[in-house]
Amino acid sequence: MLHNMANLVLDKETGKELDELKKLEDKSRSEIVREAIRELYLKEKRARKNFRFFVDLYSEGVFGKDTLFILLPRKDAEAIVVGVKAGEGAAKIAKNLGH
Amino acid sequence: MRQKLQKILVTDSPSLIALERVNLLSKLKYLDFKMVIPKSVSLEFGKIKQGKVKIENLRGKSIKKAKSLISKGFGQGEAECLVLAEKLKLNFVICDDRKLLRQKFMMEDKILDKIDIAGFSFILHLLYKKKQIKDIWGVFNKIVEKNNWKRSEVEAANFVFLKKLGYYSE
Repeated sequence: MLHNMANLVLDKETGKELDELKKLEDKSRSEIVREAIRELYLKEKRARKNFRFFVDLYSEGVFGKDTLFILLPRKDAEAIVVGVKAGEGAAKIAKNLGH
Repeated sequence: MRQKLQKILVTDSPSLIALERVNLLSKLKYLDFKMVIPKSVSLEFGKIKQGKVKIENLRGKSIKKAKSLISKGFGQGEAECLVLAEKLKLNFVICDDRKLLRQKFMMEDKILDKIDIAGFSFILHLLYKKKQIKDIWGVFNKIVEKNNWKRSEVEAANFVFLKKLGYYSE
């Protein structure tokens, strides 16, 4: 089913790029926008799934900080380094409390 | 060596909001812990009807300490939680504030060095032990989703916490 969502607001530069892509790829503007959204969607989905996988590997010492920063966007790598340290500290507390 | 059992949890507003969003606030009465929150957190959160949550006003030196933390860039709720925990001689607070997690990691501060930070999953763990929730990962995922904590320090910290305590995710 197609959703008709009209009026896409683009700035001048993006508009130019879209027109150029239209010629280069020989696709309609709608097709290009659809593909771009799809790609972003899949990228985001993958990143979400990968995040916990990398948290696991990092907290188990499979690889260090440097590798994490090479493999992931900076924001994700920082979140993992900071989060893992806090989570491990909290787990120690819970164990010390007898839980 | 195990520490003496602490029966108090000082809790910040993001964690309370997270629990409320999955309707777990009413289950706090089953915990062996009493929740204590500073006044600023109760103002941020709004009315709390749960009898197990006690609101504590900071006084004298504690206010000065909180103000000093705020001047260093801490949020008011977080600063008051840290000072209150120190006053109650606790070694951790429950807080799911991304900024505080980063500050704990990067800054050197007397109070911050003494007090660790646990997240909402600490309470999920206690509720699970009390058989008040069954699917701990299901609740965990809902909280992360509803609070927009995906791919954040908060998700990583709480995820590692549960894994280290032996909860195996799918």
